[in-house]
Amino acid sequence: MKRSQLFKLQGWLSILLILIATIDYALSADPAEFIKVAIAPFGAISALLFAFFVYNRRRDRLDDDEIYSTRSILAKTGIVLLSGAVVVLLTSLLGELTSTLDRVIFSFSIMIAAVIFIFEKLRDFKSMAIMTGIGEGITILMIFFR
Amino acid sequence: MESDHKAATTLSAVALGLIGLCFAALLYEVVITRQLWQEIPRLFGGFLAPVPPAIFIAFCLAYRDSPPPAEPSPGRMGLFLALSVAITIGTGLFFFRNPSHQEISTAPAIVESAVFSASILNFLFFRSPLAAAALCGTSIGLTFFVIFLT
Repeated sequence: MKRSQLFKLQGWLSILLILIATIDYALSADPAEFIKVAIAPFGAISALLFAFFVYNRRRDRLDDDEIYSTRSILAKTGIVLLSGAVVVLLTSLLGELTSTLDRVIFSFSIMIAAVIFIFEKLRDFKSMAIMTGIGEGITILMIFFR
Repeated sequence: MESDHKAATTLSAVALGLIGLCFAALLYEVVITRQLWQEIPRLFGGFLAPVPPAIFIAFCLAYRDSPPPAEPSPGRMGLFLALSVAITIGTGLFFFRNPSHQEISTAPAIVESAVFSASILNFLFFRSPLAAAALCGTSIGLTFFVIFLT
């Protein structure tokens, strides 16, 4: 079990879960004009390009030999719970804003852009916790809060 | 020492195969009884729900390399199996008394998927026969409850 392989698996799984949530929301949304749906993901794409342009180094601290202490693991579990709660609260508070198709695609493509930025630039224990929280929060939102 | 290790490996593999078989049966039952095709993405989300915490736990414990197991005693393992089957069926009968509840086919799938993830973690890192017995009993009880008692 390599830690870098587990990190990549978690990233792909989070992206897959956000796509499943997007399909779930889009099946029950109202239709919109074609030009709005076509232009909706470009906000996330340009934000992602801007973040790549600003933050152009790569942090890679995934050693297999390092043993995490119990206190560190507890703190990162707290980060998982916190980021999951933030995802659930933000998407619940949007409410009416996720009623048509273009708004659904805009919101969830921003989440996918955040996961891709973490996956590419910040390879760390803390960002692994944040990514787990995003994937788990979007699943809990999809199952229980609809 | 060598024979104990081999016995525990065989036991954990058998438990894993049994839980996978139960999971396949439950998935078939859930997909057959589901009429609305709009709810299929939510169903797959429910199946994938316990996987990110499992990957996180595996990430935390990646330095650990499958320790030699404790000595399995058949009496305690049988006791754990029967007890977990009874507890699972009792909990199901307590929570799903009225059959008009709509969410009845999503919750067993989530629990079954969590059991499957936990048994894979047990197979990779802990190799505890008692935990394998309890997880297997939970899976068998849940499948029995879903197929025969609802």
